[in-house]
Amino acid sequence: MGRLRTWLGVGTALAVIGLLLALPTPRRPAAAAGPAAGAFPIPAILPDGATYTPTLILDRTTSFGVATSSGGQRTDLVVVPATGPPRVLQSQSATEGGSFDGLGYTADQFYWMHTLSDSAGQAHVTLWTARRTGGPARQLSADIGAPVFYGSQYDVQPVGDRLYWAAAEAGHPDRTEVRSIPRDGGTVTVQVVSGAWAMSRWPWLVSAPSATGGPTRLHNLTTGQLVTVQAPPNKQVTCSPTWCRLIPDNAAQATETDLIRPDGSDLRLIGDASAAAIASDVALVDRFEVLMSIVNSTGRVVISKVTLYDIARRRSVLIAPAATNAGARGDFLWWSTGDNETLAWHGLDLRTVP
Amino acid sequence: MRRELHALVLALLGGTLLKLAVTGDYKNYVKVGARPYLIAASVVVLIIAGISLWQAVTRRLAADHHGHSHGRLDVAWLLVLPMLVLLLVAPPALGSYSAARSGTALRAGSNSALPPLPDGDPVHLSVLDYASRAVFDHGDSLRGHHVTLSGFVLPGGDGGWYLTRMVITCCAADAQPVKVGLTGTLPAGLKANDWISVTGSYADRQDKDPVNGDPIPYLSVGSTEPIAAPPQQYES
Repeated sequence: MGRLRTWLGVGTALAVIGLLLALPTPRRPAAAAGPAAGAFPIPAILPDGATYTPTLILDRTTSFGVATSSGGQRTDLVVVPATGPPRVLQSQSATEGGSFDGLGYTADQFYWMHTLSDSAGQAHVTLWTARRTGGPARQLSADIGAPVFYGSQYDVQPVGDRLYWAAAEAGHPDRTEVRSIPRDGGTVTVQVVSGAWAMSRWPWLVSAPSATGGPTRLHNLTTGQLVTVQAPPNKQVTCSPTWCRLIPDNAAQATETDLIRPDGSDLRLIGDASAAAIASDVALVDRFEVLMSIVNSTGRVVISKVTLYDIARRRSVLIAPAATNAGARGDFLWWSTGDNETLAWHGLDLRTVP
Repeated sequence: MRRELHALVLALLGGTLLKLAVTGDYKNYVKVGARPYLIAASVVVLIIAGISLWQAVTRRLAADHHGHSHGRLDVAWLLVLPMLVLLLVAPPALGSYSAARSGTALRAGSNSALPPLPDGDPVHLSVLDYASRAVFDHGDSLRGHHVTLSGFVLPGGDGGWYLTRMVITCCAADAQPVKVGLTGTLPAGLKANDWISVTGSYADRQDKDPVNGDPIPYLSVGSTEPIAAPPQQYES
């Protein structure tokens, strides 16, 4: 009996050792491919050495933005392909101190507004267009009024065969001009609307950030419908027709970023005190909020992480752990890494995020 | 029972070493040239284990059956733990976590003569070779050449990336990183530990490693390609 037990014990031990040795080597699963896995590169340094900052992205191979020459003397409005030289639509010297705003496009046109100030400090704004297929830029109109720009994709908005924008009315802060012009040029039409409004997704206007007093409202230009946003008190409210973003309007409250439906339902906390939403428009593609949080401000450049709050899935996803800049507009998010000669831009089509 | 236990632990040790040597996983822990020694050592250990076990069993059978040993825990059990870790967890080769906490293994001031670059366009170089030429030779032997390096990426302090390889003299315990800064357009969505192959040219720029202050040379990136982690991740 003892003999059997000895052999049985040794045999069992050897079998366990053999089993352990025969186990396949554990393999770690490849890191889960997050949304950033679908990112694509955008040129940051153009062939002539100019530094490029995208303002909007048309598709994976084309973006539209501003390039500053390597010496800083010139600023160009450029269309940048994935490879090769950019197409310069308009140039200005740094001494002119102008700006390009309201950039947009249709299937066959680019358009933008160019602001220049005269020696008296008076701003002069003109509306420009260029064919996407090529050719020189053309001024559409100088009868622009006093347009208001909020960095929104809707600042200058194509609707049918016209371009629309909102302008302030001189001496009447409580009124807004909704101006429009045929896309190929012509007479500017002005519709005066009571209240301080900004353009939102057509046909909606939203209370302008400059509007004082009273709750944030949405105004349907086609039907005349007025929607008063049901937001909690002491919040600074920014709205699209489907979602509103809330941040505290005074330092006494805990700093956080919330989302809420215009009717006051479905309140979500999407960012803590360290996070700030970077897109002017709320809920890109009706699904995402882009947030940046500073992770290191002690170096030469500030490093932030970029996260995407997914409204549909109620979760945040890390996009870039160490970004130096970021922007988001329309269907796309873009962010940079590095700076100076290590600067690199990366784009992400939000419609492709699973 | 104690002699049998010792023999069985030795068998597990020898078997584990032999398995690592045969499967190639030993490259995660020691340099490639150690393979013959690993095989020889594991065979010797297995032979000793076999003999010890045979002697222990036959002795036990000959000496009646009253031999139950009781007492303190045998320290031989402790040797089982690292073997179980190797077999059940299989720690991977050191990567960006270790590299970020160790200074680059280049020390400025060496004037050792470097041989001419190998043939090829681009020239395939190790990260260590490129970094040595860039720092000690001030890039003289690299200028005018396209080079291809491969390694894992490590986030730099200012949002850039370092191409990195761990260099070992003997084994993972003495591993040190060698870092090369990357300038130019890099693939979007890079994450620490991603392996890439980079083709580019010498860039006349250096960083100081924040960990030890040693120089980190730069490579101007022409093109990149994501690659799988190679079986041999360490340079030596």
